[in-house]
Amino acid sequence: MEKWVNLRHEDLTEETKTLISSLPSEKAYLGRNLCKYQGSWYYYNFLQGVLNFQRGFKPQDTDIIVASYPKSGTCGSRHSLSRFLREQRTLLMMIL
Amino acid sequence: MSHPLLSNNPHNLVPVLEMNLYRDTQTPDLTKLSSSSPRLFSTHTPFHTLQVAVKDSPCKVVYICRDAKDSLVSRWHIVCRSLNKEEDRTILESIFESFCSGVCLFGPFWDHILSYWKASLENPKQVLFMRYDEIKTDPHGQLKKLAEFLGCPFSKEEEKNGSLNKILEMCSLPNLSSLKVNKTGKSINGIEYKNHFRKGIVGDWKNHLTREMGNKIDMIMNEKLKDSGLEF
Repeated sequence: MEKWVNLRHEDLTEETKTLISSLPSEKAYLGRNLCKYQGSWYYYNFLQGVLNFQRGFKPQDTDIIVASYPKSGTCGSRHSLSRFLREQRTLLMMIL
Repeated sequence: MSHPLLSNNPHNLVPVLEMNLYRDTQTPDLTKLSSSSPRLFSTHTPFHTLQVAVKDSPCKVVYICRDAKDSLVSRWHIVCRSLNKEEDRTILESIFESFCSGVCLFGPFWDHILSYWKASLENPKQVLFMRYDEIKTDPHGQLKKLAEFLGCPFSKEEEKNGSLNKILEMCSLPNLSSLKVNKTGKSINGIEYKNHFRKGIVGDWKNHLTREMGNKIDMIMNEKLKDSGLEF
C-alpha cells in the first residue's frame, strides 16, 4: 500500500537522516517506522516533505489551506462541503 | 458544465503540501498548479507545524474535524483496500492500538484536533474549525459559514436562486464517486481514486468497532479534550 510511504532510506537527504537519528522513533502498525517531530508522528519520507514545505512554502495572501487528519473526509471521499474557489464570479465549492 | 472537479480527482486539484508538492524538494514548480485564484492546498500536519510556514501570512486555514472512531474506521478501510484485503480485523486491531497510544501517522489524533481548535479560538479570522458531523447535518448553514470566512459570502440573490443547492449537489458523494475519473484513475502514489470514495456516513464505526473499542476511544478523547470547550 501507499507506495510513497516507502521512500527508500537512502533517498532521504543527509540532513533528514541526521535529524531522524536524533528524534524519538517507534514502529506503527504493519511495522512501519515513525519518528516524532514537533509532537507529531511521521513516516520518514513524510518528515522530509514537512521540513521542505516549512522552509520552502511561501504562501500568497489569498491562499486557502484545507487541513485535516488523514481520512477525515477531505480526501475527496466525503460529500458535503469544504473548499471554495472563486471562478469567474461564481462561487464553487469543492468537496470534502 | 465544465467545472474542474468533474474531470479531476480532488487530490490533483488540491495538492497535499507535505506529500504531493514538497516531498522531494523545497522548490516545487507551483506554476503547474491550476491557474485558479485563490490557490488551494491541503495538509495533514498539526497547526503548529503548518504555522512555521504561514505565520506571517494572512492566508486562510480551514480545518475539517471528524469523529475519532469514524476516522479510524475510514483509515482501516483504505489500508485494507490498498493491500487488496477484505475487512481484515487484525489490521483494524493494530490500527486501533496505534490510535489509542497516539503513535500513528500525524498522531496523536487529539493533539491534532486541539492544535487547530485553539488556533481557531485565538485567531478566528485565519483559522476556521469545521466539524464533519455538522457539515452533514446542516450543509447549508456550514456552507454559508465557510463562504463568509473566506470573504465571499452568498448574496441574497444567490441564496434565492438555488446556488447553494447546486454547489452541494455537485460536491455530493454520489455525484463525485460516479465520475469516470474517480472510478478509473490512480493517484501518484498508486492508490486508485475509487478507494477514496466510500460511504461518508457519520457513525459508521458502529458497524466495525466493538462497543469496548468505542468506549475506550471515547474515554481517551473525553480526557484529552477536557477543559478545551470541544466535545464529541
